[in-house]
Amino acid sequence: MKAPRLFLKPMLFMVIIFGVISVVSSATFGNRLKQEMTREYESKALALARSVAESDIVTILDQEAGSVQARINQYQAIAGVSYVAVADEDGQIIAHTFIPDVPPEVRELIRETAGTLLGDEHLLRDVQFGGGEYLHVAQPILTGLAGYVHIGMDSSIIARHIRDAVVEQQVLMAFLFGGSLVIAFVFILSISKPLSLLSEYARRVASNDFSGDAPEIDSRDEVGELAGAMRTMARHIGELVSGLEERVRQKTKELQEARDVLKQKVEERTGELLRTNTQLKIEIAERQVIGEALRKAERKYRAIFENAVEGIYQSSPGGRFLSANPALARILGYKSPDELMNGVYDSGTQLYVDRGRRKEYLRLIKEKGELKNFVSKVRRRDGRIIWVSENARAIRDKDGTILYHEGSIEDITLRKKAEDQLKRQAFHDPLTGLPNRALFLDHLRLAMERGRRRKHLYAVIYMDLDRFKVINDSLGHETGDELLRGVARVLESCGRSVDTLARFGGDEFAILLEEISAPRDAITIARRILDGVRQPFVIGGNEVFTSASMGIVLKTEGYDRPEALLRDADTAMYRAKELGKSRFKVFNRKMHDQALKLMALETDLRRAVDLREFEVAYQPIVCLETRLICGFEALVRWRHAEHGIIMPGDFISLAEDTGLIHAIDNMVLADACAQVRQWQDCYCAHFSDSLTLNVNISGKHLGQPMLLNQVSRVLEESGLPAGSLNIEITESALMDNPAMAEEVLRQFKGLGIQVCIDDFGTGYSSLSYLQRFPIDVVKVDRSFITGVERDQDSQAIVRTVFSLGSSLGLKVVAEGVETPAQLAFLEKEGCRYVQGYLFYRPLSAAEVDDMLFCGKAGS
Amino acid sequence: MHFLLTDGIDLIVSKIRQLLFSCALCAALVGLSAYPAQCEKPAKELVFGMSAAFTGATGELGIEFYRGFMAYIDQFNAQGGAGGWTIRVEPANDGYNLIPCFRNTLKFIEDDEVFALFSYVGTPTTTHILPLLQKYEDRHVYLLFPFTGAMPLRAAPFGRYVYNLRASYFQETAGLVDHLVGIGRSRIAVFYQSDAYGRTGWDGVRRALRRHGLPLVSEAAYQRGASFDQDFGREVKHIMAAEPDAVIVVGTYASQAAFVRNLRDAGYAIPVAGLSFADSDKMLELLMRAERETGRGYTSGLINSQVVPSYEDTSLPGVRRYRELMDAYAGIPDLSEQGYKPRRFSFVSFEGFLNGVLLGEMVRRMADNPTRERIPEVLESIRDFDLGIGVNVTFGPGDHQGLDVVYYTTVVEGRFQPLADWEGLRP
Repeated sequence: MKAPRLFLKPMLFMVIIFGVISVVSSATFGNRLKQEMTREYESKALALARSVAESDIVTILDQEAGSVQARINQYQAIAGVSYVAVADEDGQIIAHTFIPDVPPEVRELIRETAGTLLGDEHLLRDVQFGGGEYLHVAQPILTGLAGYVHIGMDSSIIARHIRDAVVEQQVLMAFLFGGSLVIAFVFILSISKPLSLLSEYARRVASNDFSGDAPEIDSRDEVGELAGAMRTMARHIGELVSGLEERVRQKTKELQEARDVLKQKVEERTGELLRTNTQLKIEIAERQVIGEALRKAERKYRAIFENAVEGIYQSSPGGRFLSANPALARILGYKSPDELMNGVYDSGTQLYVDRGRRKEYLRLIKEKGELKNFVSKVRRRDGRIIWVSENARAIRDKDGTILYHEGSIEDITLRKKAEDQLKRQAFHDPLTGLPNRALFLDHLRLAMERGRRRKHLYAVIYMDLDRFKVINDSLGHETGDELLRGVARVLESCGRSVDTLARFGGDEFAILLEEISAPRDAITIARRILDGVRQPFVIGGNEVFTSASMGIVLKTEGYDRPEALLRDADTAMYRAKELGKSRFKVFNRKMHDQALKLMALETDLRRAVDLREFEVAYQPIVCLETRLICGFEALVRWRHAEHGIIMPGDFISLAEDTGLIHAIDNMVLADACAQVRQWQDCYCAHFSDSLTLNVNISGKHLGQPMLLNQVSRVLEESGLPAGSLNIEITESALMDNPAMAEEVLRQFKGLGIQVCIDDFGTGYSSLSYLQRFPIDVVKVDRSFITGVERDQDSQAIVRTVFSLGSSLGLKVVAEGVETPAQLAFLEKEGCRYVQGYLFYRPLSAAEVDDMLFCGKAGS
Repeated sequence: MHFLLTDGIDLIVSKIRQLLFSCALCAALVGLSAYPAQCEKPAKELVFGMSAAFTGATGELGIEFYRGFMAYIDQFNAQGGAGGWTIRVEPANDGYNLIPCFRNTLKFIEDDEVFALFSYVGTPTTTHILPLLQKYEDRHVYLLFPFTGAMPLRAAPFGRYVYNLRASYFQETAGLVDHLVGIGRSRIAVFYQSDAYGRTGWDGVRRALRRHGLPLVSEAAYQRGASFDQDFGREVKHIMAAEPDAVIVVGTYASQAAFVRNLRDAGYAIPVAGLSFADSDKMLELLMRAERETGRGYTSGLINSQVVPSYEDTSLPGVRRYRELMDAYAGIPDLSEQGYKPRRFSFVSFEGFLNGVLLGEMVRRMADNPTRERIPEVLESIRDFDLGIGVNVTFGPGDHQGLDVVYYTTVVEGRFQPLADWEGLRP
């Protein structure tokens, strides 16, 4: 019987499974057997060795070799024992069972055991000699004092046992395998037999033989079901085949009839065609005439096409030029239209610099059917990039399918360049090339938006050169411009690529630092810029030194307008200037509050000027010789509606900054002149000489061209003699612009007005100025007067000023005299005029009136 | 795997059970067969048990030893014994094997209730039964004059149950070593039987050499039971590798003869010395037969120590009497193999003869009331007893050694003759 092929796989499977099982089990079994037997042998050998060691101790002690031999010969009969040897304590063999002699390996072992193996220990070792393997056990006798027993167990017995056991197991496995194979064979045969019958039946059905019956398989399993299904299928197929044959016969007949009808129709149509042919010949003759006319027209339009300045083309929707004129070829850098048409097969990738333009082009054409002024960058054949403007439309056939695009191209590169130039000029400072305020604000706005969207740290620096005006005035505008360019280069070298560096005009710069990781970065850059600006700039062969002050805004979140941010930076910058220039100041909350307060104050101050909320207080100046009032210093007071009296120290600098100082100064001047004139008239008897008036004029005011006119007008209006008026100017105001100051002072002198230097000693002026300026009075600063009681330096200064005054013929006034001690010192040094609380505090006009009226002026 | 081992053990146990059972059966049968004989025995007969090899490679030892003392005892009995007491020696064959010897001894004690054990042959076998003597100490079982010089029979713990006539192997080996060293042969090797006998001889040689401060240059053991046909080529090679100038063989006649043959075949002419236990006459016979077969010379350079004088020395009255009685005695034990041809004289039968004389003397001295308990007392009363061999036998309390003399013989004219001149063996 031939084995069914179905049987092969299970057989293979079983071979593998049985093989694996037998190998694995043999290995484990063998290994386990070996361990167990080795352990048994070890314990056996040990037991024997101990038995010799303990039972024969007497004979061994006597070195009774014969008795010992008699005993150990008995042990040899025990299964597994291969040899026994007894040695004395020195390792000398007393008796052994080797024939003919002790192998060197064992002799060596015995020798080395002696003396090393003591007490209750025993030695277990595998020994090989003479082609055999032995388990050697050594046991000391009387803890080694009497000698040693050595027993060798034949290890080959273990191996033989293992081999036998494994063979037995393998045989059993082979039997099991054989049995399983037979069962599997029979089982598979019962499946394969009906299957082969069925396949035989299926082959018959396939060759259209429906005569035979399906094999009788009644088993109630899947094979039985298959047989049933095949029977049904065969029946269906049989019916289907006979039906098909019938239909084929019927259709053949129908076709025959149809062919006859067709034949007749063909004959009729042939007649019709002959007639049509004649008609066509006539038409061809007509067409030839029309064609000639068309050719003429075509030549005319072609000339236009060929000579146009614009490039004109027809192109396929795929981007290939179908036709082009010489102008187009020229624009795109080709020698001829043919070369262009051969060279460009895909305008989308070959011409447009931006790949998306071609898509855009197609989209517009598709949506609108045409496009106008479609501006793109295009790459010429030589690689140059030009700007072109295109007009195009789609040409469609009757069905609306796009045949091709038709359009014109104009080279607008020059125009584009001009536009860019204009754009750049609008947003950049022409002097330094840096962005201007508009562009800066634009960038700042973008940065603020980014900051709102995500965590984006940025900072703004507002920078102003110190004393730029001086440089500009003294060295000329060209040097000034050169310096500004130099500073711009410094900024560029200190800033990073992401930063925006801008010049706002004049000597103001702004820097937007973007993508900083920490505020510290901004500070670092600011320091670097300050250092860079401090370096000398070589301009026209001269070294020009300058410095800058900076305001920095680090906390940039919370601003909604870039202008507000810039304003705060500006505020901080001004604070830096106040703190001594050439430094930076970081804007903080306090500054903000101060700014707010200042702003409120400014508003109030403007209103105060409008409402004339200012009053004048008069502090008498006393002549020491007569102890009489010899004049007044007019001091301004602001009577604030809410805050009450505000002293000049709190609002004069603001007034100077805002320019309100002119109005205030003028008002005080006018009021005081009128008042003093009145007192001069009414109480002249009370005063020594003529009563003088000291009025303070701000340094800012000094440069005003209107000042002189105003003063002379006030004098005129009030009637005060010019000699009674002392214009007080602070020493530092003089030093800010000495040339101008000198000019103004001379003009005052020209009017007959006296000039008084206020706060003398604080402006670090050199003494030469005192000579240079036309000065009449010097007021020693109150800080020195306060110091004379204790401070030697102050005493020296005051003494010097007095001696200087007397030698230069100047009137010296000491202000701020408050104690009799100060007065005593001053009198001793020859002081003639004093002012201070020791005599009078500043008084209102009414109080002065009272005082004068009561005649107390002399006391 | 456990089951395998335990199966093995079970098997062994069941085998042992079978063995014991068959032993018991044998013993019962022997007992039954012996019963009528006991009934027939004369009222005054002392029975002695003798276990020895009567067959096999050492079979001739047992036979000739037996013949030696029986030559005397037959005459002793024929003359009416002593005080009416006759002597019967019951021989049993152990084939020079331990278990049969043990079984024989057990039977002698338990079943036959012999008067004493007498003239056992073979060191390993005799040594093996010594514990039985202690076991049956209450029955006063003593072993008299065994044919072995081994020390276990002469030392504690069992020496007190044994009375020896012959000198010990230690004495024999010491004598051989002393003489060999004396003639300048100090490189001495030992070829010995791997059992208590061989080991005792080996030990004796070793101890004697140690006294001279010499080492044992080489040694080789062989398995007990070797026949003359055995090839000892390998052992010869092993021993000669150390280049000894004399070899002492502690073996049986067959093994010694085989060793000598192989040694000479290998071309070595150095002296070979054997002990008394190797039946020198039988050995010589084997070698001479080999000489005849091969045409080579095997008999030169042979020395054998003996514990009795040469039976050729007829100047001794003992020898004359021995030769007289041996010529008159033709018996061989029933146990011996068919076709055994008895030797006329031999050292073995001479020693057996002397054993018989001493046993007769013992019976004579206790004839008034022979009991087992009296054996030590009677034997230890023997002082300077003349056996007719020039030296006298003396026992005493704690002294169970009758003779201490060792004789040396060598082959002269195809016979072992007293070795007169050691100088001839000088290298």
